[in-house]
Amino acid sequence: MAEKKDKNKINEEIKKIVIARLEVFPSDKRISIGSIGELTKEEMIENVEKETDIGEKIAEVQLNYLRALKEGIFYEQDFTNHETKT
Amino acid sequence: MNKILLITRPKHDVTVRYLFYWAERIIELAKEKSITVLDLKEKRANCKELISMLQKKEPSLVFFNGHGDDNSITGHDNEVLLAVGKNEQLLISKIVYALSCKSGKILGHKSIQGGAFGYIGYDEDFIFVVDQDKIREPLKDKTAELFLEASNQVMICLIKGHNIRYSSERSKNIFRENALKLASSESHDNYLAPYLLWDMQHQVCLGDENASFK
Repeated sequence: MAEKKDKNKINEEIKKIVIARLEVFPSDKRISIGSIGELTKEEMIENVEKETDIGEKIAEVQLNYLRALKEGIFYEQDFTNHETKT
Repeated sequence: MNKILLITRPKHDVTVRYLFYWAERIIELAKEKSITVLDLKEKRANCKELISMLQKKEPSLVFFNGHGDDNSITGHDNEVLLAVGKNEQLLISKIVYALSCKSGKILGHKSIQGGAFGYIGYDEDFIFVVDQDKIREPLKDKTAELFLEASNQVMICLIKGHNIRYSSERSKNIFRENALKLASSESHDNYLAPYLLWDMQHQVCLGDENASFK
């Protein structure tokens, strides 16, 4: 039971982090994810809060980015530097 | 390898409408390079036309623009064009770039097993951000450009004769450069970086990495 509580708490913390990051999404932009159409900032946040499939995807994108930053993704070698053809 | 490019361009919703217009740049480039372009646009982006063109004209390069999932790619009004277990063998001896969600997960692998030379696609949702004030003029949308210009690099490189590995990696570099530019600046657009990075990380290049359109 305690484990479940902890798990939920982690989820809630993650949700807060994701929503805080989505708050900076400009109101005149829309995000296109697959065939569901274009979402506003408010719709993205609502989906995260309700933990819909699309909300989970949005959270995954944000968490993936934070992990990638930690792992130094921007300092990786050029993808094409092995290629000689121009 | 013949110099024929087949492209599917549905236009029935905002997302595919963006892809429709951004693919025009690829068509222009192909024509400049004297490549024959079979343009299945709008209602012509249907399964019957696709099969007919693939069988009669045997294009060596195929560029899909549309929605998709693990097992399929769709066209006009989301009609399934290509699906695992149905017709993926039609891609035999072809190089494919699928600008659609998730088809790199299963359909891409099955296409390679069925004889396609190369398949570049995405094994997750392809995500991009649009400016609502530019929805009627997708080519003037500087926000969407960050994503669709990076995606177009795949086709630009393939048309220029580069192999599929280089073409995919060049595209990934553009995604990363765009993300880095935004993330490392005080730009108000740094909120875009996670989505650029996502697309970069989920672009897959399957098949013979030395396969090229020449």
